[in-house]
Amino acid sequence: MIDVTQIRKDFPYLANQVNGKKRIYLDSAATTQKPLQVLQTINDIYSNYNAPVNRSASSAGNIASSLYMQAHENAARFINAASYKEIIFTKNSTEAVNLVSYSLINSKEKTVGLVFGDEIILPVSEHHSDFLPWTGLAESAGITIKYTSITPAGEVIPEEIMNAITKKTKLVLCSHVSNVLGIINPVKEIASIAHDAGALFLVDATQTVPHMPVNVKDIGCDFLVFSGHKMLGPAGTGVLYGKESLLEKMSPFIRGGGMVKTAGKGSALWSDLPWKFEAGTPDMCSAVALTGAVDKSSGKNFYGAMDYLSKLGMKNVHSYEQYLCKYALERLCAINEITLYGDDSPGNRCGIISMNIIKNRETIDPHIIAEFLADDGIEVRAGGHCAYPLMDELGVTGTLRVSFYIYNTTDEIDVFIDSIKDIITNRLL
Amino acid sequence: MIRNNTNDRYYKQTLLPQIGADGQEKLRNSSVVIAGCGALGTSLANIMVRSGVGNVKIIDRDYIEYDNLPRQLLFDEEDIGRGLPKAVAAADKLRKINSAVTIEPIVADINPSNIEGLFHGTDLVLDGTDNFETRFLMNEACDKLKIPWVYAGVVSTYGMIYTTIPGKTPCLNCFINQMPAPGSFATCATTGVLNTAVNMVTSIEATEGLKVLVGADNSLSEKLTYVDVWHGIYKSFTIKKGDEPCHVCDNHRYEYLKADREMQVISLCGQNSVQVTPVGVNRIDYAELASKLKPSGEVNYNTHMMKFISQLYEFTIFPDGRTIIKGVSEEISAKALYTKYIGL
Repeated sequence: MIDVTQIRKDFPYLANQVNGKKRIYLDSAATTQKPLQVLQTINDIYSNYNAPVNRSASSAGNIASSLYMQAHENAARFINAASYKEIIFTKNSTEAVNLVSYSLINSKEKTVGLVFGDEIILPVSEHHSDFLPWTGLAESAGITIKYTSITPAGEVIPEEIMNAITKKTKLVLCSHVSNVLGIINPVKEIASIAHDAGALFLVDATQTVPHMPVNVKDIGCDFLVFSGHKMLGPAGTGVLYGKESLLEKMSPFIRGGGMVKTAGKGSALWSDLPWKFEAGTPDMCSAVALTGAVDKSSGKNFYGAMDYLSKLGMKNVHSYEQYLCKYALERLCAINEITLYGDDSPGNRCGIISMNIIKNRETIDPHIIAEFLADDGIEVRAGGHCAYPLMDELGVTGTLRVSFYIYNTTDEIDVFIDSIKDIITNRLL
Repeated sequence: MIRNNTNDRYYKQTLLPQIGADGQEKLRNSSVVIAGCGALGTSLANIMVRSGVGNVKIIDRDYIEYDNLPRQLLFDEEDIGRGLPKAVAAADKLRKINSAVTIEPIVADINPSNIEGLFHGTDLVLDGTDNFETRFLMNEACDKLKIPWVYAGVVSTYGMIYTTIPGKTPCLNCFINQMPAPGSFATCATTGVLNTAVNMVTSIEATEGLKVLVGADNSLSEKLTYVDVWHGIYKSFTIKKGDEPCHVCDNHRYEYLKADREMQVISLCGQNSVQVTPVGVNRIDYAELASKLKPSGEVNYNTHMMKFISQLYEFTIFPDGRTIIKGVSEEISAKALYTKYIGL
């Protein structure tokens, strides 16, 4: 069970006031707040454990290297990857997708490399960070990107992907949950479709790893990406999961220190996985703040964001968000002026709801609503949510998005609903 | 039986002829800004809340550290563990002391772009800051907004206190007419400070503040007070205006308020709209603006928003001047449109 009263004590941000009103944070799909335990880990590491990783044989260096190795192991465990070799730390999901695109397009290995005439398929509802990494590179390499259509409610249609696939399709890419609509896409089904056609499958799980149990083996994906800052961890942490057999064949994206066994003027022998993809001194502290780790020599435990979530239980996190989502959807559906996007049954959703307000037959710019909500201390997101092609499909320039997490309450949703009603009735022209 | 009603709580204050029942009622209806929540600020906030001043706004940008604890009497070790900002921790504690007072903690750096908004509508500002730049800024803001304020500073074992009533008494700029150069003044960080000196200074500063709030203007010291708690010194100096008019309180020409007065312009996510946030606007007069804009387009407004549609652009103007301009994607063009139609 989720004890939200207890949880909120760990998040100082939520205790602040805005304009003399209680701050209500409904923008966790953009970034989440950080619990004190994670902040403490960052403080502990930089105070007492800061040493070069995988570069120093000093005892402090060894501990730092061990902590960073554990970060890979714990991240692997969190998504049920086979080993630490399948976990590459990146800056965020965006960098992880860029790593895959650059590496696949530049790999000389025929079994993984993308070459002239190959195709990539992705639904039109994808976030910019899922399609922009491919566009420039694909164009110059002569690779075609095919966008598949979605339902009027914004859902991905597996049959459309199946119909778009040809012998030339090398990669299918899809978000586990749309960052705009909150709907859980049938990624297992899409994985089978891609694999039946001999294509690779990449899942953007940025909006699911923080919110529900995610199992890479169960999905059957080849690659999966997520960001740490959307799951109580520090900004600047992201993870690329890739099947070991694929990563072995792929070329490094960024080159530099720490990723070669030997290097000469004209040659280099890459390090083993995952290090060949992690050039430069890594951000061990942030990785550990995300995953948690233990200094085995002293027994000192570094509590990570994943520890925090695992203690609550990812199933519980998911049910709690669905409970909040259902509570909010019921109340929003009762307001005539509100248009909701996506299927309004909460069963297949994470805690994301997108909407617009229509008054006097005019769709109100969601930024105006967001400003009024901000006056009431309520923080939401307005705009195109880095998914402009989806906005075009929905026929809007933007939406108002609220998103929930473990620290939100039904009381906060009540305040939000009251504020929305007041804005519609009393504040809008 | 323990009772909690206003009469009982403030009995020993209302008994004083200097306060009385009337004065207590004035305090209840008053608002005060505590600028800075360190050694001076915690003590001042503590006195104001316990005295029953109805609205107390506490502004500070910092977080609590161990070397604050010898002086900053509202904080404890647990607060440090919780990683709270000073303003929030102070408010949490004071709410337990007097739940009838509205306490508004603001975690912010007082600067030229926010000071007028922060001070607007308050009856009194008490100085709990630790630097002259902010004090000179406060001096100008208080002169502009006509808010009485009490300056105070403490270092080592001594301190100074001075009350300015805009329009009546000389201002800070009249007796320190140039900001001391960085490093030229003793600071607590370089010289140290004794906690009893802090309490001595805040007792005098808060008393001056209470006099302002109960309307006992005649009892105000009108002098710069100097105290040294270690050497037992208590002196007052009369502040005389110089021969030259003061650029702050005579000419109302403000240098600190003008600094960094850049409006913020941010391109909004989505398509083709930009938000402009001006500085130093407290409240727009919609009726006046509407009559100005009508010749250029369609204007509609209520008390919460104004919509102005010109040929190519749609402006949504909020009462505090924030404006969303639709139909423009370049920030520089949005700024120009704002200046053209709404002005500064």
